[in-house]
This record gives sequence, C-alpha cells and structure tokens, in this order.
Amino acid sequence: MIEDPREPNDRVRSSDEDLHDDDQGPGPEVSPIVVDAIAKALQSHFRAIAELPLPDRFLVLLAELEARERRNET
Amino acid sequence: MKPEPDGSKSGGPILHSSSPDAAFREALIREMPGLRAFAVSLAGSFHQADDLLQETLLKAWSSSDSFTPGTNMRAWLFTILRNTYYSLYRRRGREVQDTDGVYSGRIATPPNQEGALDIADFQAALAKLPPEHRDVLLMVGASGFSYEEAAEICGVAVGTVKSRLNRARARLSEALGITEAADLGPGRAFQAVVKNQDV
Repeated sequence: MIEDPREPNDRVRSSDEDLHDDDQGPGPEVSPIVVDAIAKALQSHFRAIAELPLPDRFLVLLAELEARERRNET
Repeated sequence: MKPEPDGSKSGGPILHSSSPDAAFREALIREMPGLRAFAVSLAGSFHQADDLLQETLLKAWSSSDSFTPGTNMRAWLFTILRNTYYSLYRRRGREVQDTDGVYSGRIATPPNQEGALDIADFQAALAKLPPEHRDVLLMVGASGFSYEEAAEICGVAVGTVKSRLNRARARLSEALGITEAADLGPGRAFQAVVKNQDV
C-alpha cells in the first residue's frame, strides 16, 4: 500500500534562515592541503554508500507507482 | 535552472495530470544511488535515510509535472529530499541522530591510500557537524554541485554556502587534529596529516 505523498509532511522550507545563527561572514579559511584531504575522504565515504546495492523496496515502490498510473489511465 | 522544491500545494501544476514517462523513471533510478548516499550521510542512519528516500521518490513521482525535462534532475531530487529531511526530522535546536551502523563498520571502505585520512575517524567527525553544514559539504564536495546550485537547493545566498563550507571544513580539521599540520608546506603537511591520524 502506497501512502499518498500529498497528504502530510509537505511543509516546504523555502529557506534555511532559521537553521543557523553563525553563518555570517566568510568563515575560517582552511588550508588547501586540508581541503584536499577532506575532499578525498568525503568522496571515498560517499562512493562507499552509493556503491551498496539498492534495497529492493525502491524498485518495488516504482513498480507499484507505475501499476497505479496504468490503472488510473484505464 | 530552478528546481521546484517539492510536491506541495504551492508548487504549481502538480500531480497526475499526466503520467511520468519512461525517461523520467529511468532518470530517477539512475540518481538513486547518489541520492541514497546523500540521505545516509545527512540522516546518519540507513533506516531513516531509506524512509527519506522513499518519501522523496513518492513526492518526485507525484510532482513529475513540475520537473522540466532537460534541467538538473539531481538538483531537483536533492531539493525534495533535503526539504523532506528538515521538515520531518529536524527542528531548530534538536539534533536527530539515529545511527544504525553508518559510522561503525557497516560500510566497507577500501583500505586507506597513503596520505588519506582514516575513513572511520572522518565519518565520525562528519556525523558531528551541524546538518546544514554537513549537507553543503556533501553537495559540493561529493555530489558535484556548484556553489550556485547548492545555494539554490538550500534557498540561501552563495556567500552562505561558502561560509558553511569553510565552517564545516574548519570543524572537521579541528576534530581530526589536522589544523596545525596544514600550516606546513605541502609535502610535509601531507605527511604530518597522516602522522597525526595514526593511520
């Protein structure tokens, strides 16, 4: 059973202005060496997750959505 | 490019006036791994991330009419996912960390190359960043978005994106103990970074 995505929880944030108080100004400069080391670690972390097999639930969900569309069309 | 934020009531023509086509579906599937990596990194939990991803897919599907073919679908999806995360899981002053193994070995990462930061230490430090700093870092540093795209996704000025990036990097370098090492020359600094991490 697929929940109607339109019902609850559709509050949209149009901006982050209430999320942070300390983002004024450019922030501290970080050495390019550190920036590079962080970038490499970040990409390694991200790639490790992205390469995991996708749980079946997502393909099942898309199949259900497509089936519902077909029913609506007929 | 202006990604519509969501399948909300205020978002223009939406929902079921025509079916998402095969190209839309294929594009969704193509973006899912990167979207999931972003969700896991943002939420700090596979369980929460997969709920987020499901909600994002439902919203994307139902508001496919608001997506303009040829524009940046990744940015559009990230916007939906990010908005959903902040709507559902985060309120001002309240952190939600429901870690279920993201930072404790569930993810198999390749052995560190020489000179690389220890990935487990890095992930632990990443998890401690404020979400609005972590997500900008992920968008620009791992998902390939420009400053301008990240600013549009977050609904803030480009300067705010740069500020958050700087703060995120500074916090990470502090947490990982690499601030001072970075002040050395490039060759030595890299070694010093490694040494400080006891890799």
